[in-house]
Amino acid sequence: MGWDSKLLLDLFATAFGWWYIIIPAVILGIIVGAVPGFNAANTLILLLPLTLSMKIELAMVFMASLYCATQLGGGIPAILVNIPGTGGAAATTLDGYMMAKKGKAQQALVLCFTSSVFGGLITSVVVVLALPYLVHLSFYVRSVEMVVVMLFGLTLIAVVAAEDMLKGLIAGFFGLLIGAIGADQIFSTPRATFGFLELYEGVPLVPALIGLFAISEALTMIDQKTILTEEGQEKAAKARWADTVEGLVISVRQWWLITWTAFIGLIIGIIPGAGASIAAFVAYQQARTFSKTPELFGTGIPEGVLAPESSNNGVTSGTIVPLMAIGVPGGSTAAVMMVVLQYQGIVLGPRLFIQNPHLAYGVFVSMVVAYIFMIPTIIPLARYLSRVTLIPTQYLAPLIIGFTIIGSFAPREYIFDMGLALVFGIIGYIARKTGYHVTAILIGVILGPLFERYLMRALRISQGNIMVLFSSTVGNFLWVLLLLSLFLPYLRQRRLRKTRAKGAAEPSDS
Amino acid sequence: MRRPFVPRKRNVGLPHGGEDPALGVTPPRTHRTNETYMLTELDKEKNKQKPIGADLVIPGIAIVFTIYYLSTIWNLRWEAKMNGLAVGGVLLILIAILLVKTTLQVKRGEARLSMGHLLYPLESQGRRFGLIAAIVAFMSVLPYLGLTLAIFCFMCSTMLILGVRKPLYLLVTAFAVATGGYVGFIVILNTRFPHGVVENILARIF
Repeated sequence: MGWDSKLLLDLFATAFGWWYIIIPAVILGIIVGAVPGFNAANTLILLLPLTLSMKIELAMVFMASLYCATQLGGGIPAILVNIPGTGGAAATTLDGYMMAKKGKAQQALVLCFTSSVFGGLITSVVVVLALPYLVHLSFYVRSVEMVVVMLFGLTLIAVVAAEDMLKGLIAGFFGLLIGAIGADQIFSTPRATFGFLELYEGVPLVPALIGLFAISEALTMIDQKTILTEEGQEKAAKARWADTVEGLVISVRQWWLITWTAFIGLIIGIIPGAGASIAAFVAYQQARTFSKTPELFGTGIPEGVLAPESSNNGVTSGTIVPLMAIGVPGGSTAAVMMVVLQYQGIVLGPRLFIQNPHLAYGVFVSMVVAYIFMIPTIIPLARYLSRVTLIPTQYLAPLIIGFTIIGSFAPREYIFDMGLALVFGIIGYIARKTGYHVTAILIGVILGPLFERYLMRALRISQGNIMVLFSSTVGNFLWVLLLLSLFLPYLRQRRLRKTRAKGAAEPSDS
Repeated sequence: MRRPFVPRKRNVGLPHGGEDPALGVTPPRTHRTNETYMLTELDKEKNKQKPIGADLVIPGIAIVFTIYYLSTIWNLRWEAKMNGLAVGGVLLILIAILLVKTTLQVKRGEARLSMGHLLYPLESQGRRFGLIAAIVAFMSVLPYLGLTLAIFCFMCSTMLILGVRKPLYLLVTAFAVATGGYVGFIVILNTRFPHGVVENILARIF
């Protein structure tokens, strides 16, 4: 598994020569990522007849470019209308939408695009250079560690997303239980399906996402004339090219934040099963922890957009690492790629890097090239995309509901899923109004089936001994981190309260 | 509305230098003003209390769902119920902590069990219920009208509910969405949306 500079240059030259494949894939990926209900995996499934008929190198370039672009596209509706296009963009809503409300949508979009591009670019380059060593990371994470990783992710979301941690945890565990609806994985016995056959395979994620984010947001936004604040309306109306430039300058100044949060995404992406949604929240939480102004997170600051977007794009190259190196797909999109590779008779694993280095390394090089092509394709559009925030809610709310409710039908083609989206929309509306963050519920629903799978695997290996969850060093280290993430915010808040009380008492003393 | 009891002492030294009407001195304001003042004082007291009744709606739904979930797994083998018991158990413990916290806040007078922020602003509630009704109506008529006509009617009705009165804007927006839905989901993606009169006519033309 080695590489030489000549091979690398050759790969770059070939990848640039495939611009006619990469640019359409990037444009399609951005559109797909921006539409809730569509993601890279289901689009690639739809396009299987096309990719299966292509030459395998071209098919991989097309799929990898589209995958990278969807992660970037997911941030667009997250910023403009508080609806993440993909699960990985859920954390972007926290500060991105707040920036849009202040009339800084254009700047937020530029920050999203630049951090996505540079985060993805950096991690893709690192993967190309360090691929043989990175593969070993996935060997250390087994079912026990995955259970803790899932709980850790959920805890972080509860801490980050909700104003009240207890409410955040309730929302997260409620989502986790909703995610456990459906037949169990061993005996296929239906659980909590309310008698609906449509829930036998579990709660479909697209109607859950559309309901919790799109419909609930539309039901909430009708209280105001526009989604913008009064000050925001003035700023948004005066948006100029200078705002795009300002966004670029902020991104350059925050290069270090973009770099290290991208690496968080890369490491989490390499672990099979953990995904962009967890990576983005971990990055957001870490950015807040190391920030000089942690209290400003959630109010609409650039760092709150840069960290999750850089991280979720770091995941893209990470998920393909175990696929190419050990034949284990890191996520659903990588699983579709695996289908195409196996159809063409490619044997995945370490030998691939010796027998077919052009294909093995070529995927990652094409990702680097795709990110380079994204810069001129998407950044100039930020100014025009930001105009969406100026649309009055009496038009915007029906548009959101109209498009997304149709989108909830598309993946499984059941009218039932539209009804499910409405139910989730009402739950999401109540959650929004009462401070139970919808993101925590959604991440719970996403992680529910995965959590059960890893928990069952760990328990079956140990013949039902629950102590197996505390049997590994890596797992125990993660348990400690989980407890720290629960108690540190509480202790910090208590200290802050004491300092404030002291500050209030001092003037009266004097 | 029952008038709240206000002790006499509180009326002494009211704004505008007024005195208690019960003492026989004509106050420099009407009785109505005095009552408004008393209510405002009480309102201020009330406003200091956080309305947290609505915060219990999600935990309420979660409790009902957890009980239902547990009832469906009770007789299954341990492999099928372990996850539900673990997650449901933690969820019930968390809700119990919230209930204790809420009870203590109400007892201390820091909060009151009102539905406050969930129901207000009241003027939006009608439009909100209208939107929900329009979604339900859309799903009901979709198999008969087909996607294009159903989404056109849905867009028109929801925009009317939200106050759009300009026919041109209303029709153009609804037409654009219906066209987008037809081209995107039926022509390009070939999804199995129910076909109605519009889809059948267009299929014959193209």
